[in-house]
Amino acid sequence: MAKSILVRVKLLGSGTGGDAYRVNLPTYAHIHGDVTDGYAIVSIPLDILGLSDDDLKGETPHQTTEGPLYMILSDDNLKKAQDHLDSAYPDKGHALELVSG
Amino acid sequence: MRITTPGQARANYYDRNPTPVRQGYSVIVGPAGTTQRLAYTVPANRKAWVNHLHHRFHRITVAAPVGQTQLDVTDETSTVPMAQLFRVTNVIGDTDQVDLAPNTILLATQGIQMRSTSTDTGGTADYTGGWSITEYDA
Repeated sequence: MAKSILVRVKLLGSGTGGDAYRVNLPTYAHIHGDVTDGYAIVSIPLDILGLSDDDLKGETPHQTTEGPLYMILSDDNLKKAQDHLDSAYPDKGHALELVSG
Repeated sequence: MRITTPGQARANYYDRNPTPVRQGYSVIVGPAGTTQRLAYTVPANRKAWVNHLHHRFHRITVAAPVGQTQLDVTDETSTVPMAQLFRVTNVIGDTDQVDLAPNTILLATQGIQMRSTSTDTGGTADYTGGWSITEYDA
């Protein structure tokens, strides 16, 4: 798998057995969840989003102790990521729902 | 007379564009509702062999009162968790772990998840989990 980045995305679920706190992405590691404000920071391999290092050159991440955190992405990268999620994981309804805060 | 055409030999799964997937997580947390800590989903036109996984609990500070901690691994091939660990302990340093070589094949768009749940009041614990998966062309 490619290198991973951090993204801040919408937190789903109620924290119960049948409705776990989670995010709407196919492959990730949960880093931090804020139930009050409804977001989670997750680590996700770039190839899961269909993005490359070149795609991120114009983006400005927050530097964190866990690595670069992308709270905002350009419309082009968001569209590219969504198109990739739709084709690589058809009928799953995954989405990169960024929460910029 | 029967005329047959032998099928073309197909490469073994480990020779069909294999990709190793090594994912893990480690957190020190207080009580929390059910949280999906790790997730992996097989992309379209691929399959995945789950070679190995582990999920571990380690008590850091005491709870008051202690509840039950549950760590599990679920996949979409069954309604029953692949692995489950229940722990009611309040002893600092107490550890429990599940190690498994499930040898499960996941089909395209099927997923596997690691989750944690704690009904403690206060206290902290270290949860660690990870898996080794080989993804390949279906």
